[in-house]
Amino acid sequence: MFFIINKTRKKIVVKDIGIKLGPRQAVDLDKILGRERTERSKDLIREIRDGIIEIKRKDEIEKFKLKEEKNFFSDHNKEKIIKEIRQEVKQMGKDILKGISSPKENLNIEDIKKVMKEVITSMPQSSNTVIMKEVERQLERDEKVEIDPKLLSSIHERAVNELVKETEMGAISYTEEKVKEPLEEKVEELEKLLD
Amino acid sequence: MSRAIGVDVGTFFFQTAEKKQEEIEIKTVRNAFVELEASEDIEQVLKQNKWQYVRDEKRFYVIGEDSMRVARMFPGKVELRRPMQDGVLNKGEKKKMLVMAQMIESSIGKAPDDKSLVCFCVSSKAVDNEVDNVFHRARLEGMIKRLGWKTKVIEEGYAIILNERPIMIEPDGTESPYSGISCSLGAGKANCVLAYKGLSILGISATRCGDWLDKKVSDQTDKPISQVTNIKETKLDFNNIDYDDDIIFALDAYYTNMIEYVFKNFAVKFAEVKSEFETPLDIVLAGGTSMPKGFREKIEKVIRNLDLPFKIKDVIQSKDPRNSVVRGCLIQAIISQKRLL
Repeated sequence: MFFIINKTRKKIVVKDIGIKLGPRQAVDLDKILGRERTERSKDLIREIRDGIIEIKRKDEIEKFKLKEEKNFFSDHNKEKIIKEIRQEVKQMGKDILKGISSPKENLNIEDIKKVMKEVITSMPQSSNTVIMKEVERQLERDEKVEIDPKLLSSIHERAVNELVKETEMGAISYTEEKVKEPLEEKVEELEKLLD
Repeated sequence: MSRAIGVDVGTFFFQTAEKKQEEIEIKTVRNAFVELEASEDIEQVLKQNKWQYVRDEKRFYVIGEDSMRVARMFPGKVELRRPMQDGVLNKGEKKKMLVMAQMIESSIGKAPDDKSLVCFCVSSKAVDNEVDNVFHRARLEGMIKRLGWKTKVIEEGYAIILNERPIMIEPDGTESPYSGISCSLGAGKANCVLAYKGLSILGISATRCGDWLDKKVSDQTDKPISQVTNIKETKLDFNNIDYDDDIIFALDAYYTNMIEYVFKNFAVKFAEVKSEFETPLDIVLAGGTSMPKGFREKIEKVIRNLDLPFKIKDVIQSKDPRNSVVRGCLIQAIISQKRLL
């Protein structure tokens, strides 16, 4: 197992081995590439050195082969790894909630949800997923979405256009009345007051 | 030629107003519809009666006054539905967008140019409802803008201030027009606005209004809502209350409750913004719920007994209570449109 995690909140690419990692995404490189290629990657070494990527677990190559051969991934080891991942996820949840209470520019609830979904899919299917789902549920509960009114009205504009596309429009009967009133005086008076 | 139109999308009525030479042309349609399955027989009935309808896939939608006639013709088979509830688009009604979009397009049409403008109104912030009107406003804007119109949005109560022109007499004797309190009592909501020299200072809305009255009285008397509404519109006279009539008696009691509730809440907001008006203020009334005989005297009697943070000069009933809001919207539309030219 060569388990690494992207420590940042951005997507990163380890170019020379063609590995793309979403924000906070974790992968087992041994499963994707094999140890020989990853050991040779200069970009990976640099990312690890710069603290962008962290190695969560790296088994010795012989040991790794042995594990593969003997299927020796014990329950004890599994529990330990899951425990580590849980700690990581908990910390991540706290960071995200902190981010929501003091949102950064260009970061919205959809971005956070997207990040979380990517992390969830990259995690091994175990009880830690439950923790992520709980954090996500809490987000849904607490979210306060501020939408730009202009954007909202243009969304509705497009939605209505789509809605009435197939509709045959008929006239609607109205009651009509005519009231005599010169409005100019009121309009002029208000224009002066509101200028 | 550029056009300016005032639109009031009310819970009970949808109205538009436009200036045509020396007259204001006001169109009113009942904000209701029925849905019918599209078939040749039904289409024939609709055509024979000259009822207008909208066809969408396998359904007919009869909108406005005609929907009432259809509902009466097929009792128990078709349900009269409303696109609006409590002053905003009815969240429980799936076809509201389709119906409202058709109603709007049919009444105002497409904008003739990019200097044409529609002013519509929305309720002020509610004192008793968590739901804001951001979505409602954006939806109406979307429905109007897609037809090429520029839009301007004002508070419902402010529209009444613009149309009714209440005057405040300053301590030095000078007159300040467009200064006072408006109270718009519609079907879905009550809206109050305090304005000074044409500027809106504060506004509130409350869900205790026409529909609330009808529902409460219906619950208390075990009479159908339609009967209560009919008596309210035709028989209720606050100068001559028949206490032997359960519906009339209940209507009187719930009207008192509604007035107290609205003005007590308005007083709280008034105190919060620390408005200071030494001179007494006029209160102008409009809206369908303010139309029963003797209502002006009734409201004056109730609010003069309340401990309010302002003095009342006069309580004035609009001369055109049903159309006051849409006429105010038209005034604002003309002002805003002139700025575009």
